[in-house]
Amino acid sequence: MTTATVEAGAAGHGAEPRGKRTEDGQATYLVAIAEALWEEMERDDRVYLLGEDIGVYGGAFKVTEGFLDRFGPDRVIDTPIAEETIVGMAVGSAMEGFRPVAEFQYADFMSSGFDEITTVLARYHYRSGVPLPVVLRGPSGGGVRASSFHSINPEPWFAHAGGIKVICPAFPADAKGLLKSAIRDDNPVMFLEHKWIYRRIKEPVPDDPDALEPISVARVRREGRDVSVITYGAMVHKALEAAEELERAGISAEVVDLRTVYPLDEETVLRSIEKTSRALVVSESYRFVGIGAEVAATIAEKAFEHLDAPVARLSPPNLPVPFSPTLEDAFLPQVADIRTAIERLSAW
Amino acid sequence: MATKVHRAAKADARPLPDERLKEILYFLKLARYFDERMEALYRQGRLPGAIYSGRGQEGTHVGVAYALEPGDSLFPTHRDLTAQLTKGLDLKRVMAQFWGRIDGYTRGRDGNSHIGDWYGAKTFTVMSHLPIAYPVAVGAAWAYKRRGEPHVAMAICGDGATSNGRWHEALNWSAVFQLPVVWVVNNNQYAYSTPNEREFPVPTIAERAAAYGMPGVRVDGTYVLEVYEAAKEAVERARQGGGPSLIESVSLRWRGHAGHDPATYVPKDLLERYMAERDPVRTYEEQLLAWGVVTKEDVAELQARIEREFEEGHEFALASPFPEPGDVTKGLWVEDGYWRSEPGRGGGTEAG
Amino acid sequence: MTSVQMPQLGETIVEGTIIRWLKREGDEVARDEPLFEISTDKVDTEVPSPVTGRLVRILVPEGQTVPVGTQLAEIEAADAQGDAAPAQATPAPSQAPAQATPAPSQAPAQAPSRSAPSRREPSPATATAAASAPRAPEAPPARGPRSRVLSPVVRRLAAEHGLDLSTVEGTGSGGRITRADVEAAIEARAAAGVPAARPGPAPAPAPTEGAGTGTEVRPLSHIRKAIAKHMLASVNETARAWTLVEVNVEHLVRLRERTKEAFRERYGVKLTYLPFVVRATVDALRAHPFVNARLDGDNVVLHDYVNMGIAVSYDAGLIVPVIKGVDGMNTVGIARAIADLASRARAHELRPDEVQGATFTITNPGPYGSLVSLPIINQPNTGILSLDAIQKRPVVVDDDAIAVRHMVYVSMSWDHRLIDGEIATRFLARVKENLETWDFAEDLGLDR
Repeated sequence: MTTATVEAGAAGHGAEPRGKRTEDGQATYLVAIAEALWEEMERDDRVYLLGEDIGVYGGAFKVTEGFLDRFGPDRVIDTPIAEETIVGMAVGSAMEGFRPVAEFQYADFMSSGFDEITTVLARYHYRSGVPLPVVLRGPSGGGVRASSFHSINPEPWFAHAGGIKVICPAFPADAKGLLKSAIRDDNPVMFLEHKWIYRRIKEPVPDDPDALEPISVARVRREGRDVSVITYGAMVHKALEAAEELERAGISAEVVDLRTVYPLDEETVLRSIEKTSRALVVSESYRFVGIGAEVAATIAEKAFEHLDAPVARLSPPNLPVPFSPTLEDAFLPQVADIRTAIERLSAW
Repeated sequence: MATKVHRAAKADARPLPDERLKEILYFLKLARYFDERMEALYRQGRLPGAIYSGRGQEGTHVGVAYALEPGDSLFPTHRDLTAQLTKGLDLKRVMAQFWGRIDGYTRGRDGNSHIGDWYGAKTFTVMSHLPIAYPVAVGAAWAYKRRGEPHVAMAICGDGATSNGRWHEALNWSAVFQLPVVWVVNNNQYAYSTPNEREFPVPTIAERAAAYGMPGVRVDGTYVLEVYEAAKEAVERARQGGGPSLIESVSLRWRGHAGHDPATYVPKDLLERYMAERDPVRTYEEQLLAWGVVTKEDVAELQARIEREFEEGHEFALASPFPEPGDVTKGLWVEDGYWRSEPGRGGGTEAG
Repeated sequence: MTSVQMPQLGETIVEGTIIRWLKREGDEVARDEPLFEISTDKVDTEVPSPVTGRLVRILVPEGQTVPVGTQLAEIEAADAQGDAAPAQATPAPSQAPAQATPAPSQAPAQAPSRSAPSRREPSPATATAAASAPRAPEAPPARGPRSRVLSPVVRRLAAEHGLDLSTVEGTGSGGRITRADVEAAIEARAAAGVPAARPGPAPAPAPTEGAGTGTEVRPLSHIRKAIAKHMLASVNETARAWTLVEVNVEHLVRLRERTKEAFRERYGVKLTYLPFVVRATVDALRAHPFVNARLDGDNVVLHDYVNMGIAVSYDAGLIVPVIKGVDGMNTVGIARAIADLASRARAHELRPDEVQGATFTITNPGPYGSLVSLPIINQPNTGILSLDAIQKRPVVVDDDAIAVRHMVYVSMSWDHRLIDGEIATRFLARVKENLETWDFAEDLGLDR
């Protein structure tokens, strides 16, 4: 076999994530995340990874497959199952100048490190002036029949902590550009990947190692006239599908992808409401005190004079995520729910 | 590894040069005077917020912190202000912190002994959820090892915090990775009101070290030099790549958990015995007099210097402005630049 | 041929007076172009033409008062297929034969059916019928159950463009007026070149008859006549009683002095005492619903809202614009509403629905120097409150000392048919207490 056609890094030590792109050069969301980690580790020696089963095994979802071979055990650290100390280790090393990226096998297990996240990570800089450039990442979200302890959307908990930026990307290119920004950010960042998107969505992603996406900037994913759908994460894809269907019925829905849920890009949301006067807020986090509640309140407070209908919300009830397909589908907002909600709003 | 129990240093052995022995006396006496005066001001309603007295435990605090070098880091609790002062905090700024002033180490964003000085004395800004700093010390120690730096991290918690999962997580992790860290338990026999028997079912905390494959020692926290020697040994072992150690330093908490707590749950005779026979400040002072390291005049002069420093600190604190209310949201994000700039000083002052 | 009728500009209006025809017989007129001016009990206003065409015949001359719905003129529409006329010209029964199986008994009923055209004759009876059957374009459109739900953006756009929402047909659910409806109406108006509805100058006086030297006889203006009738009717119909309280407004005066500059700068309107009094009165009305009520035969009609009439004098006399839903406003909102209504009243720009529906009225002769007034109740309200002049007076203060304080008399004329002295007095006491004890500062939304 000749090596002439082999991608750089793909043959020898470890597999560079770019080698995992599709034949036409597209990256899945998962590969895009791996590319971001790889490129930032190549760029900055202070960046290192820690987490459970991320080294030898390559991570529960194989995001870090090949990283140990390339970067070695000093920079790809398999840890004990001790989430408080995973966070504490990240914080302590960040105080000493490192830029740790800690993987949680599932975002659900972030609650096992809750105190170190919300008490130390979120509150330390404000009280001491010591920057904590820590990224905590992990797969969140439901819709994959993973039941109560592998499906959570913890973003409201950590958005509420006050000193942590919370990112929930919906597309591979955003995931890549935002994760790179998160690693370069001097503040704590919670990077919540959505496992439903991991291998479902692919698209071309930038090759430029310095192509970043800005944190706290939302993006209008689809222009529309009649109703604004404000959402993030996997729900962006459902909202886009609903909007496509409604276009044929003569209803024009705009879809705003928040991308970062805290601090929120209020401007993009409000500009969209000024255009359409109708807002549907869809979130996969719980309805009560969820991200959607905050977005809806912001619209009611700051775009009141532009509203032509009450702000509508679609979010799951505050329940453990159920397992049985009928229950989980009833629990999560579906395309049909979004479509109906848009129709109702546009006819209000 | 076996648990080692230290005995008090022999009365005729001087483990340190005289000047350093005198410096230890200064920190002990400063701690005692500060603790007593701050409690008086608190009870007079002249000190806002809270106080967490470390009285009776000065031997532990000075002993462990004095074993650290400037490049080593300390992760203390609210009870361990004496250890932070020993590590190098500026008394003036400490007092400004207690009065909520802009010159406090947290710029008024926290109070009392929830204090730290990472870029100066290299101490962690204290948090209440004990032993919350233990996992963080793991990260700092890992950083030293990764970079091959000759530094050591030391974390302190109380006897009660050893019941918490993080205590075990951190000890375990540090031993797995053989990190340069010293785990100190200031066993003052009461976690708020809860005695040792309700916190752990083994005779000593030190023997738990065996379960994590690290050395563990139990020392007399009322004798500063014994504490210092044990800490020095653990610190140097860590510095040489020998991995983590556990030190249990036993004394008694003379005052309540906080300024409001009369601590009636502590048996009176136990407290009286400790105060009469095991006062870490007085016994050490008597030792130095016996050794001839200091004279009575030296001690009086030292006391006068401490009282002067306290008054200067108090004046400095009361003259320092409050933080500007308009700055309340600043300093959360790094990019707002607040912590890289001089703080606004227009917050006004008021008599304490 | 299109018929032009006397419009009903407001639900309680039963008749109107033609002040002036703006077109003569034979003139061409464009749709929405002003055709004539009318005066009703409430306001004077221009009425635009329903169609484009030629004014064929004027049926009611200037100066005449006729019932709502009376046919006033005929216009020959430029477009033969134009608006209402063709629809009327096709008698409905003529379609009956198309029915599949006409029963024999239906035949006689069909025979006399071709009488529809006679409905267009201008007898009073048929005119009323015409008013309710084929809707003239200027009449309020059909209203669904949600036609009064006005979303924030609809309110804002209408206000910004001076659009009378009663002329807009709602296409939203339940007949709600949507943002799109408002935008379409604004666009349509712009396309037609018609500015926001704006009455012309005050009615020209009718020719005067010269009498003796130094004496001049003038006919009363329609507004004056309406006021006269209204006032006399009130005195005749109500059992008027009167109660007075004295209010210490010292802190209110100080607050106003302290904040008036900032208020004007922030909100663009002058801060007078009236908004504070309105705010305090609204609270008292909520506490005493019978003061906010009206008699209707043997019934009493209670309102769970407050529409505050504010008596405003202007060149034509007195007008009472109404702050609708004032119970939902803070002092800033009230101040803005008063300033807006008063300025538009003086500019003759009030819309008919803005001078109707008061549930209570306040008159404010204080600025002219009145110390105490005894107002006539604005029927069908139960009470009218008078705010008179604020003066410094020596008063006995808490520790039995004499002090100089800003004081004012606040009084109410009230209808003894519906309420008694106890309610009236407790109501006024509440107004007094509110004015003396409330801290209005935070209501002003100004940084202290």
